[in-house]
Amino acid sequence: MGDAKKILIVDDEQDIVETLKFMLEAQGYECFCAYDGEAGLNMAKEIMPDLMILDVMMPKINGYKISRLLKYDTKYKDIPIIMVTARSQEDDKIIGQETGVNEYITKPFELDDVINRVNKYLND
Amino acid sequence: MSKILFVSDDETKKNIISKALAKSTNALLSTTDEQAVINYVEKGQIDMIIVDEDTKEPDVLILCKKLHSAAIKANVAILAVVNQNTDNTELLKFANVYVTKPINEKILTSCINGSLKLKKAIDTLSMNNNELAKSLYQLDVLYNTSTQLAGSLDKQKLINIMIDGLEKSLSFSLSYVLVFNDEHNIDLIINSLYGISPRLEHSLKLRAILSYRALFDKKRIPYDLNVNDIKVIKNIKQPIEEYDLNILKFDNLFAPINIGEKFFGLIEVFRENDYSQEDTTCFQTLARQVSLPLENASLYEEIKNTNTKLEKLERLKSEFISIVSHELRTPLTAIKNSLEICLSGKAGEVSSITDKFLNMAKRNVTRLSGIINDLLDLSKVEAGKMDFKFEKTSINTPVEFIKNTFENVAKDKKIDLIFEKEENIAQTYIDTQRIEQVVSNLVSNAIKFTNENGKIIIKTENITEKDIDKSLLIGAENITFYPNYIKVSVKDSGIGIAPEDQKKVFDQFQQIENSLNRQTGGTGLGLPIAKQLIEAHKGFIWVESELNRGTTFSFVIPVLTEKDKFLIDFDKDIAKAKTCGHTILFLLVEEDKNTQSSFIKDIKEDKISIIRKTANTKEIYYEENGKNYLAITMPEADKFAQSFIEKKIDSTLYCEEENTDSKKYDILYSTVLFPDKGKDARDLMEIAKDSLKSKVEAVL
Repeated sequence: MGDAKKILIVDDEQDIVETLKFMLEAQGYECFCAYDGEAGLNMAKEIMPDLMILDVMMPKINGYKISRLLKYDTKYKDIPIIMVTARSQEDDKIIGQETGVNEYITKPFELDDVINRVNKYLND
Repeated sequence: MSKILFVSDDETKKNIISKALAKSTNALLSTTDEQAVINYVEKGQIDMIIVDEDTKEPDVLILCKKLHSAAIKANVAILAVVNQNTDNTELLKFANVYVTKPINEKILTSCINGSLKLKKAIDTLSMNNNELAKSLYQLDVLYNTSTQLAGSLDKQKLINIMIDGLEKSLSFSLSYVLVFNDEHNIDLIINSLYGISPRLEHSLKLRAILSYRALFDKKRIPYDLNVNDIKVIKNIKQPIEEYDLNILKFDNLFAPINIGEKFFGLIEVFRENDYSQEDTTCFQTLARQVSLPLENASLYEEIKNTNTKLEKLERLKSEFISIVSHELRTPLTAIKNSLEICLSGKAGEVSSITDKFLNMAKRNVTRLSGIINDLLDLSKVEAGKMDFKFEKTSINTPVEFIKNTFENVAKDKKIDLIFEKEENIAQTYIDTQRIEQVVSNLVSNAIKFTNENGKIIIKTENITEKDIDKSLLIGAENITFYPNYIKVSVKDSGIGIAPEDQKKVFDQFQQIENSLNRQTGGTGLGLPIAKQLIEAHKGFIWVESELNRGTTFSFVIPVLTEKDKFLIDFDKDIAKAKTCGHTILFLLVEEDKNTQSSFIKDIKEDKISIIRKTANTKEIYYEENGKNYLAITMPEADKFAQSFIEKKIDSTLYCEEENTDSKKYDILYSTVLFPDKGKDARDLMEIAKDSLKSKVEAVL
């Protein structure tokens, strides 16, 4: 599995990270996890993931900021980002678009839905 | 005692006059100094003048001419002593009475007495007249003051009106009012003609406290006043001079300001002249008159405070629901994910019994997230934070979509689900997604409450305002009706709703209370949400039902013209402006439909621009009575923007080439700035249109 696609999951809710990791690994992806914004950003730069799943509300650096920092850096701008949030307001979607988020998922989400979206980016 | 002046130094005649006056208490003076005579008369120091035709120094006729108007004003009678065959008709004209020479003592006495009596009568009359005029003036002030008092609910303003009224009617030198706002917030408002010395200020404070204490028995005193609790507000008219303690010796009037047990403050006024009985009455009337509006003002203040509190609570409730719902979503996601993993079999084999219970857990998690979504929707729509995407379209599309969605569920329950579609349904502004939410709620309810082999009919139709039975609408007061509506109804043959419950179905959490003993499930929030969503479309929703026969839920949405929609959006901007405290500029342009060079068309095609368009500005072009109109709303534009835009339009109207006065465009326009004018969108539109008219008149 050396050439497995790498997915970085950043969320301060460990249980959610765990379930996502389980399902994605079952699909054959290699998963990395971080539990706060700062660690997530550092890990992204270190491992160069093929896709990131980001929570919005996180300690230290929030999801939008991570997205903005990566999307405005030529080195990382092509990493697809799926944003997960508990908020469902239109404003959030607009901020998400402005910071370069590729997909937007509202909690509670269907795991199948997440997997489908991940596949869309990584299997083409 | 009257004073009589004899203008002569003829001792003989003076003696005769003295004799004539001997029996009365009247005094006789005499002088030959013309200026002295005039001074006596002007200062009102004498009551009667006697002149002798033969006196040469001063000239009697000239003196009488000079005295004429002053004598009338001071009501001084002139008695002339003339020769029997006199031809001095002019002198006789100036004199009020005359006696002929040789002087008959008795005739003279009776003439003098008669004139003096007359003078006394006239004096009394004019004094009464003066007092009457003063009373009338006071009455007028009282009336004006009471009218003003009735028009205000502001405490400070009321006190000012009262002081103003007192000043006009009593012209006091100094007044102070002690006003109780609350226990430690007491104002001492001092109005004074001149400045006041520091020790006077301090003694006024003490005087106010003492007067206050004197009003109450020691036990019943509302607050125990302290000098430090009193804040002094001074209004000095002429600071050039300063009053000191001696002003406290002036005549004063004092009154408490209260209604029954309710005490608002007290007032005292000082002035140099003494106060008459009328002044006292006037003062007390004014002090009494201010009490009632003051009570109203404090009641109004209470209501306002309560309202603010209620609004805050309502907002807190919405925020609370929103925060809690968001917080609930995360753990719910973790539960749901875990269940899905177990159910997928990827975490190990699942026995059929385990599968059954895992599914049960998953179903309930889904239900729980439905409730959370409903709660969020409701709090959002109530807080006005719901974003609607209104588009002019046919309502048949979302209704049909929902009908198709529920087809299988209905089939499972052997329910006949029919859609009676009006093919020519009028298009209007709707948010398709929200309408789907409402119809879905109504259809799922209908299926839930309809037994097997039942029937559900969904129907769309075009109706007019007349067709709406307004007695069925709840809370439909103060609502604008429009001429045409589209109606959607969902009719089932289910269990029905009891009349007493029909009113409650749109109340929040109504079903949650009942659902414990009713095996139907649901959050009970669907209908309240539906009501809010339909009302956001300016429509109504209602229910008609008969127990065991079935229920029909219907809603109507007005068929809005572009202008209606513009006005609705404008009203939203106005509501926002009110809460945020900013202004809105409204521009209306009118021009003839068949005009050669159309200003409105050129604006439309961006050939000219008069405003900077932002996301906030909204514009509309419409036709009415053979005229074309352009209306633009500009939130946050102020009066500077107003004059800037007016200048810009004015300069656009004329040809750019020099030396031509010809108008390029022939339009009428007007601008209105909210909140300076108008209360809602329609009102502002009216005002703008009326000021268009006045511009035409101005030109003519």
